[in-house]
Amino acid sequence: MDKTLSEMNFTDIYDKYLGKIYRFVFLKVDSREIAQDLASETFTRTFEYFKRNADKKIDNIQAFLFRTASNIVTDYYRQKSRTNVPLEFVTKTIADRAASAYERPDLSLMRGEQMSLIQSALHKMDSRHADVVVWHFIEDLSVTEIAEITGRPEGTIRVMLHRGLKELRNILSSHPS
Amino acid sequence: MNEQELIKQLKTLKNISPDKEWVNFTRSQFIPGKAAGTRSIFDIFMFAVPRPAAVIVMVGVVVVAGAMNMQSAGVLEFEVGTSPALTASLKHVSGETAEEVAEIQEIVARKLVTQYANTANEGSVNTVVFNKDAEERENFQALLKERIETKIARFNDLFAQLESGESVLEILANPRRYEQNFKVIAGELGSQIKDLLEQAEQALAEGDLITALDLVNAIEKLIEG
Repeated sequence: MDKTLSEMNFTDIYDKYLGKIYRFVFLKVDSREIAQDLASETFTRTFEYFKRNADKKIDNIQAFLFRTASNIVTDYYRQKSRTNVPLEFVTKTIADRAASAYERPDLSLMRGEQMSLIQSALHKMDSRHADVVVWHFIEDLSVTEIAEITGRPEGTIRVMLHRGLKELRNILSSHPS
Repeated sequence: MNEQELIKQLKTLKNISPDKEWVNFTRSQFIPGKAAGTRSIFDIFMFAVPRPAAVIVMVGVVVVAGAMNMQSAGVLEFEVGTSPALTASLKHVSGETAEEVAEIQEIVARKLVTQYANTANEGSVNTVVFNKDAEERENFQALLKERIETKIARFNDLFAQLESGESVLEILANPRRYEQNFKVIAGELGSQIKDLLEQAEQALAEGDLITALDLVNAIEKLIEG
């Protein structure tokens, strides 16, 4: 990117990447409300960085956002281990949300359950493998882009993708259903 | 399940998307040059937000009103005590509310240990650790409750005066800026402020003192402008 941070329109960045960041965070935490909080925090921190470093340039905004989101989720789990989770937060599984969105309850329940199983399996995986699987297969990021986010060589990313899929299949195949 | 089927199932997770109202609300923070304005406040209050999100909406409102920096909104954290009102929970409250709670605790007992983990640009985390003395905890609750009740009573009095039919000229002639502001703003946002006041009263009745304090502080910030 040739523009400095002060020249970039942050709302354009928000519009372009919010969906990806939200999805990434949602698949790592256990409630929609918490995902909203953490995704919002990701953009707030990035916005603050922009304000403090207006003359700088960022080569890869996407990588910056994903790294920030990843750090924020890590901080969340670290804090969560020290505090009680608020009871008033409603935790909705993907199954619940999917079931309410579709017209055919029987079909929606099946789809919702499948999605819920996959989310659950992603949680059980090595988080580094889960991240690369999500980035590549759900967010359609290339190996090069993922390498930029993680700072790892492309060859390593390919290996992690292969291992991640294998791990996911093993977890899903061991599920009773 | 083979790899192709697994990848196909993974791609169904692309359907996960955030709530549109939340997207628009969050986006409004980043619109350049968006000054405090009645229209923005109305936009926010148009959302039908569930009660757990009410505090987050309030912080958003005072950001638009230009009274508070949302980045200073802190996470208030209490150790689990025997008091249900102060059960440890993660709440997003304004920096002002966090400071006011800290002030109340200092009034109550010199022995209380307060730890501030104040990281630049990450908000502040205030931890109130009560000594085993139950009386300190009771005093803290009582003072907090008194503070909230005083503020709620004041708003209710001002509403009563407004409803008694004082003319605009009389209002503007009132030298006390706070009351003057209240009446002007209540005229525009009366139903919304009343909703917030009701929520504050409900939170107080349920013993959720931090939420109640945060709500009344947000109303104050709206009035002070």
